[in-house]
Amino acid sequence: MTSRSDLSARVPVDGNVPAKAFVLEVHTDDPDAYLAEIAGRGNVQDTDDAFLSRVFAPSAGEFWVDRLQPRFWVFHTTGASVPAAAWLRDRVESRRDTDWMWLPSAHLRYIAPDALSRRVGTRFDGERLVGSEDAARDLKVQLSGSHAERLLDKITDLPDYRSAVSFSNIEVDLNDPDLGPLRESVRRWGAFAAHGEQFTYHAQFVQTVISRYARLVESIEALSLRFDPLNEAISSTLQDPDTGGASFAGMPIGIRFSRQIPDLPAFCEELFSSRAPFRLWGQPAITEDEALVEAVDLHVGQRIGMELGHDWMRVYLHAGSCGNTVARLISNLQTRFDGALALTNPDLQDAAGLKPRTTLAGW
Amino acid sequence: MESRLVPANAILDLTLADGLNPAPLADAGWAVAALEMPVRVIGETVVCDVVLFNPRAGHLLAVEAKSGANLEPEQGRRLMALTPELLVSAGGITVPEPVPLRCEVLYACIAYNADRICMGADEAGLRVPVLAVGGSEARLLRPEMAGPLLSAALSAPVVWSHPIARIVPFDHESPAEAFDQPVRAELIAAMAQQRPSVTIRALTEQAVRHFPIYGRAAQGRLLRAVRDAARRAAEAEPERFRYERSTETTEERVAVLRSPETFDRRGRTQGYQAVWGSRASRPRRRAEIPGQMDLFSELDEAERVATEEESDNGNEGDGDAQ
Repeated sequence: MTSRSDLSARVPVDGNVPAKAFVLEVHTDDPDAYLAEIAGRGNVQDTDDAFLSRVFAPSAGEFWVDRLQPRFWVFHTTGASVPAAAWLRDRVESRRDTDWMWLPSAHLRYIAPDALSRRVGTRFDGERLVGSEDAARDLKVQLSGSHAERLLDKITDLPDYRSAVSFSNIEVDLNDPDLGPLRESVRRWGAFAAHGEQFTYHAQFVQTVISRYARLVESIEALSLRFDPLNEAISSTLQDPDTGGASFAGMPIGIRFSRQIPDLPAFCEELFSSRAPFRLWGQPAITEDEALVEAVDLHVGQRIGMELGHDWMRVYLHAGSCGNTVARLISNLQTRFDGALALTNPDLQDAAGLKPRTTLAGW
Repeated sequence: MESRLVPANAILDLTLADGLNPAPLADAGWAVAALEMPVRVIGETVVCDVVLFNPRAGHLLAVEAKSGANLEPEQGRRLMALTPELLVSAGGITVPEPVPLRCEVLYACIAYNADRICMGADEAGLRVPVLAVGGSEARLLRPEMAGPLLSAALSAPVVWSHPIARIVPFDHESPAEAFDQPVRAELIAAMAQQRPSVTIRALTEQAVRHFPIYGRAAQGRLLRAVRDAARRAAEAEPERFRYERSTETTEERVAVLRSPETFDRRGRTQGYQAVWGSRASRPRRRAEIPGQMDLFSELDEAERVATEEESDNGNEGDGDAQ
């Protein structure tokens, strides 16, 4: 049997091939059965660690699946990344209880406070949502060099272009006196590639990024709208069957855009077209200044209410819905419409827009 | 939003610090404690439309959201007889600090009806403040009848910077079409989850997220409205949905006959787009002629071959997570 400490040898970060890690958000009450279901019977091997399994994927090779965080599973592999990602994508797309981790731009920009960024990339594609007259409709930049993120920061400082800057990937160098050097390449959909000396350093890095993201998702879910019937013992004293009453918690999630939606009907048509990456279905009711829609997030098969104006959006997430829906919406809006959008709830903005000071926590 | 529902939603919006509209009641420390809360007072039941609680000040606000222009004197007298103890007990409200408790009543109405509501309050001898909610602002009338905390919180008109949030977007008195969007969205959600059917009862509780706030009669009306909307939805898409009456063994329900989830990825998107004719085609904004290649990227591949920028050098860290 394999133990967790064997992972360093099973997924070496000091080989010619980088170690890869892919993070999936999973909803299940029975993790073992779930893993067997997505991997296929006979393709899962237990280890000495209750949260670590070995998975054989016929088309993608071997994964080491770490379930330390019950909701965010890490699929470690040294196999080729394209078939690994394809195998995982098929799992994600065929299920409604599994999704990627959708990092907001700032989680990449401030990935680790003591990291030296070597390479950054933005792939902003506003062709479908940004007006053709806009100063920045598409922006694709990749820069290698010391403190590479500073170029994108400079572009962000230009008012006409800031809305087109969204970190899609970043590569950073870290160095720890005990753990040695580590180079991490991170994509916004929760994919990591690493070279270094110690697997444990890589594993901790991945867990730290997950923890920050988990905080964002939990902050979103804390705002979900909840109507709970008043205590039945209380109501029964009223002897009046025709009364209801419920406690209420939560609030809508506000998003403020830094650029105007030029054509609200066209924007809604695209956003609610069921197409990737948003995969939102909806039939909006549109007036001159506002659009209302009861949408369905087809990734998870859950309804989500939305209101849009020309420079704002209000999202009504209901109790029991997955916060990943909103996190994905934010991440995709950042790369398709407005990289400089802001969340109007201060706590949520803090969780989504990590600044250097806050990244220190937990790392 | 139907004007009937504006006063209650306005009160909620003023109490929710979502960062869009101003929220002076939240800023002053109030939070929503309950909706449609029944309280037994003077031998009768009075239903408080919205109850706010300010735990720091120990202050409860019982809000009567008037959908029309008429004030009911008897209901008003019962509201005025409310005590903090009754409100806390009825709502199961947690009081975190040992502060003295007090309560007051606030009427909220559409600005258009405010004069008549104020007149009705005077005729009934009710010394209550009234929040007049207009399209552009909300204004506290009769502030001298409000407690100092409330009058201070609403000392200036609250200007709406955004539409009022739709926490209670419709109710049992709403027109039939108000139920179409939420019901159809829930049926699409059932499709996406590959559920074979959804009962009308479950559909109602999902489509009307605020279902628990209503009493039995209103819930019955909501259920009928959802059933009607579900039947309309199924009749409009007979190949995809079927409304089925209850039998001895099954509840009344909508069966999902065909889901786009059975298609491949491309077909799935088109399948969803086709349900209820979701998409009306609009002219694309692009200037390019359909079918033409992107001019800018036309030479990318040629450049890669010519310059061998991406040689086979094992540069996996760059491309492996593409």
